[in-house]
Amino acid sequence: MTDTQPSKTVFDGTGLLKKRNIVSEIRQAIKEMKPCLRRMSVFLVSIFNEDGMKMIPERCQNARLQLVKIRECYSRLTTIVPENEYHRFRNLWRYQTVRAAHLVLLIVFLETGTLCSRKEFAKTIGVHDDQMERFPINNEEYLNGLINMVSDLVRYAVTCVTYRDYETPVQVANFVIKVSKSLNLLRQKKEGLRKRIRSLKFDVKNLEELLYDLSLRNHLKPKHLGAEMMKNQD
Amino acid sequence: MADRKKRGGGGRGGNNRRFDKSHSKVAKKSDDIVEDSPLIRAFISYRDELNDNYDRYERLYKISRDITIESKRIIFQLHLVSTDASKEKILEEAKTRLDKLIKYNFADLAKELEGHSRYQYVRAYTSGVQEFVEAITFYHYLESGTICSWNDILSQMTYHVSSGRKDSVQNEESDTVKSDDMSDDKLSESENKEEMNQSVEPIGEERKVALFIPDWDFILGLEDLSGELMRHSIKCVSSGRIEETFKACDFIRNLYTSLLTLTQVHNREFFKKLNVMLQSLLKVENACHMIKLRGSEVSQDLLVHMIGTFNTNEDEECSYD
Repeated sequence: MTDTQPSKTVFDGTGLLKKRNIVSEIRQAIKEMKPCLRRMSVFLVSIFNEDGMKMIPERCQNARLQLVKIRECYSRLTTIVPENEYHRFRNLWRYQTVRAAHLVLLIVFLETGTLCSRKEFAKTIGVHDDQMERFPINNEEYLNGLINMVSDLVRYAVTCVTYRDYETPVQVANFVIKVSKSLNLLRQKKEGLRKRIRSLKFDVKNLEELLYDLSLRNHLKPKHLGAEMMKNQD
Repeated sequence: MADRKKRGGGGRGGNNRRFDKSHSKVAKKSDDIVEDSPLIRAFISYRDELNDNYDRYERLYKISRDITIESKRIIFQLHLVSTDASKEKILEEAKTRLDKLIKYNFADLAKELEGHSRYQYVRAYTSGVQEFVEAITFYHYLESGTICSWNDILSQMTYHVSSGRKDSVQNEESDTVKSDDMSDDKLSESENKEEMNQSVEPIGEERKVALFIPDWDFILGLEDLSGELMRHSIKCVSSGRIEETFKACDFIRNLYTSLLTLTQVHNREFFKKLNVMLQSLLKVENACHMIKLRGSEVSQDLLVHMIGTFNTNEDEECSYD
């Protein structure tokens, strides 16, 4: 099936061929993005040990360097994907976007202690936030990344306690509780997302137990505890 | 039929109301949490977007189901052609029903989809479109013995046209469709159309809503058509129109070979349906074989009986695989 003589051959596969070319180009771009994401996560995984915990800003900086390449890959994807056909190929890079969201949100939390909104995240990786744009950032991918990041945070809080940092867990717990509250605002229609959000409950529970253990042993300063209680009442 | 339509419409309205209710519930919830933190605000906007997506998907799915049901009924009606004498009348009625589908149900689809990314909601209405393709191609087969061009169908699905040009959405893969037209002049005709269609965005001065349907749906619908043709051809044997059976057999065979040449395909459903298509083709071929071999020896009734038993054996074998 060649596209040399479309008028004569009964089957003209140019459309199919075109689609295949687009898919292979997208695969190529994603292939280049993967190692960057992996390197980023290597830097960030180091927050789960004692040495890494002390140099979080440096680690975040290192991880952020990888974003340059990732942004480049996304801009390439933007040009590859034809106008109006974003949703046709979305599945191809879905996993990568979730992963990128996970890592970027984690970096932002470690740096500032706040949640990186979808808009900021879209800006970070160089795509659009507006759903009507040619290459928008999908809600579900962002939310899945967020939930992944939250389960990482639980692990982070546990590590903090292990190495006798009793203040960070309180911060983390406040944050996670707020996030899980906000996630419950969503109508959870799709099975995948609903399951993930439900699993968040256990993360919250783990954090609460952690705080309970800390307060039982008088490790929490009253200031923190007070703040925690206030937040919970909201 | 009018009654049915009405009921369908009522159901749809009722459901819309239900959607609205859930909306207001959610809205109340968010009023309870009067936290004006940016976090909550961001999530409320995400929620609204997701709700919008889900609801639109649901509405599209409903329309698609209406189309499926009506298409199935049309196909059932078309099957009467093989036994009834009044072919013209049946075809005429089927035509009006098909036109109605295009005029109302597909218009609803197009309106609902307007301004949204093309492939976003494709999954919601694919089944309806496939069934519709099955119905309309079956109709065309009975009427003219060929397959209608996909471009012709699509060009009917452009609504609110006030400018002169009638081209619809781009359909890159629709050239594959032509293969199934067995006539050459039709082929070149759609070729020209294709060229015209390319790169034409349906945004003019006047508002113009073109329905986008991925060409996949057409091909998958064609594969379903083979099943209907098989039933049709077997029925034709029983009503004594044997030449019709041979015609259908040739037609399915041609369709099958042309679909086989789609080598660039990575679509699981395509191959599944292709397999089913082969099964129906075998059935028709066996029927033809029977007619040729023993047609002169036995009476018509017995022949029908024989083909029936032959095919049921075939079925059992298949199920054991």
